[in-house]
Amino acid sequence: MNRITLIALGAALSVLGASCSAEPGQQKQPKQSPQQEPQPKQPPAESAPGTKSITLPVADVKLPPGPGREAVNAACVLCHTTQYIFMQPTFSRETWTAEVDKMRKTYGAPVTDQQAKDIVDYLVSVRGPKDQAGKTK
Amino acid sequence: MPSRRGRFTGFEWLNPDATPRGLDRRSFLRLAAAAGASAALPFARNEAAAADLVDPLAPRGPGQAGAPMARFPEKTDLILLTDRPPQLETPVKYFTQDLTPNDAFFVRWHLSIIPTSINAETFGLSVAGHVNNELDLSLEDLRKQFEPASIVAVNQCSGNSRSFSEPRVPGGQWGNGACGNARWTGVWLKDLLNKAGVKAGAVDVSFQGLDHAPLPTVAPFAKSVPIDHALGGDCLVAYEMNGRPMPMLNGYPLRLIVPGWFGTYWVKTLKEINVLDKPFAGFWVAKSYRVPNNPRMAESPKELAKDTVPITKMPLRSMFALPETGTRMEAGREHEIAGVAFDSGSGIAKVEVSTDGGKTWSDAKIGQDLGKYSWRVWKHPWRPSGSGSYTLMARATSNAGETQPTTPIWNRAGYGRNIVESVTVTVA
Repeated sequence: MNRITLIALGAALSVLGASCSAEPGQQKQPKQSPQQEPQPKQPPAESAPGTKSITLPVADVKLPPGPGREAVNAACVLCHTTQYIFMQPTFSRETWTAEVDKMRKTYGAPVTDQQAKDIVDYLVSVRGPKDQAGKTK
Repeated sequence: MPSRRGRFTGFEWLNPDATPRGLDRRSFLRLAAAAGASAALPFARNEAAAADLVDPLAPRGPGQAGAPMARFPEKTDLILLTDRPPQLETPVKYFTQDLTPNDAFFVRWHLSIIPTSINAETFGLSVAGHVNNELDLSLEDLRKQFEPASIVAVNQCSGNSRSFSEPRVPGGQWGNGACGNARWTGVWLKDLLNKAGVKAGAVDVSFQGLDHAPLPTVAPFAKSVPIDHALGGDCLVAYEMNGRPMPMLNGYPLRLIVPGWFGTYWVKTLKEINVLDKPFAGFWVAKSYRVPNNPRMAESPKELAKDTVPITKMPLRSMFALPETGTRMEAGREHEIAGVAFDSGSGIAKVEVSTDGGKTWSDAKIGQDLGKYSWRVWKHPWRPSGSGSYTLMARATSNAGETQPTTPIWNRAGYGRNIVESVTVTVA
């Protein structure tokens, strides 16, 4: 299976000060086999090493066009990436509606009724049965 | 083939600033072609012809077929589910090894605010609540005041293999790779609890780390186990993974190890242990991670279970490392079939392999026994008798006398898959 590997840049281990916020890391392109540790040296386990920091790569997900895309970008990304959508298989409008309801009722997502309708429309357009795309309940 | 909806949009890594921005498909293809087979291209490694690009937004097959990969801090190339919060799956080729390398170990966070910077000198673990003495321990205290202990144990996500559910369910669409085996070193939880002195009437022990959500309406991630399990379940507070401090993404500097129980309990960046004199009411046990209250955790889509309990023990399971389904294998020579097997703590008695779709079975060679909570690597040499399609299967038997089921169950969360697995290959 052929894959394109997106190497997460900016990943680094760095010893900073006693800072609580993550600083941008060094750009690293280590040549490594899958079995090897990344190049930055780690202090030995027995010492108290001070501060260890990492910089998480952040993906800019460009959502494909679809009805309700703006609502998704406004509401969902507050808490998490929209990549959650794209790893799902096709689900029915009923299932997508239940997922959006869960975000609102269980997790307290601040989403209006209209936004919820728009979000479901978008989810169905990108991960719904083709004959349900674009229908608003 | 991945479908495309008009122009390739996909996604790009935003940091650092050197990453080209707004890269459209044509530029991407041009750069990928120029890179050829070189791994030096800063943002992508082209292992194949440009025509075989993976579209990160295209639908994937079950088992994450077609998913993109990414290399996160302290990690090698892993299958990318999400970046925020990070969820990274281990390619199953690592399941030929007794111990999963730290940089290949899967990553699963629930909430998007996760620790990325830890001062090991000021980090403290508290033990409080229904105890005689509250403790506040530094990492050095844990190393020096308590006898170090090690245990080899499998960590498997409750939702491992969810993408194989039929019918499909929403959630993290793992293949089989949300699973790994490691030697964990630290302090027995019971030693910590005994030092604090558990008072009579203790019911549950709760554990909380540092991960939390941007919204105050979402409970920070916290789990609990019953007091008997905390004291008698071989639980460990680990400061090392395979002999080194664990990667930040796997819970540096401390995580809870609950051998034989699913990974949801293995709280990362462990900060607080609280002994409770009543049942833990936190969301992540009381409302989430629940399964139908029957031995196989089963329900049906039309009849969802009303009686649910927290998920706990991992069912007996075996999985393939190689070959992978769809592999073309050379006729006329010997190949190795391999994988892993484990259960919730009785250990593996045998693993049998079939190369004829389940008609006949023979014993695989099982590898080193690293303890009852460790997985066992199994291997089986196979010389195919001729060209054609073959269905390979593996089934484990535990020391407790259990065998794997052949038909899957279903539950709404996609938890607990453990059937006899099949791999179909073509010999030519």
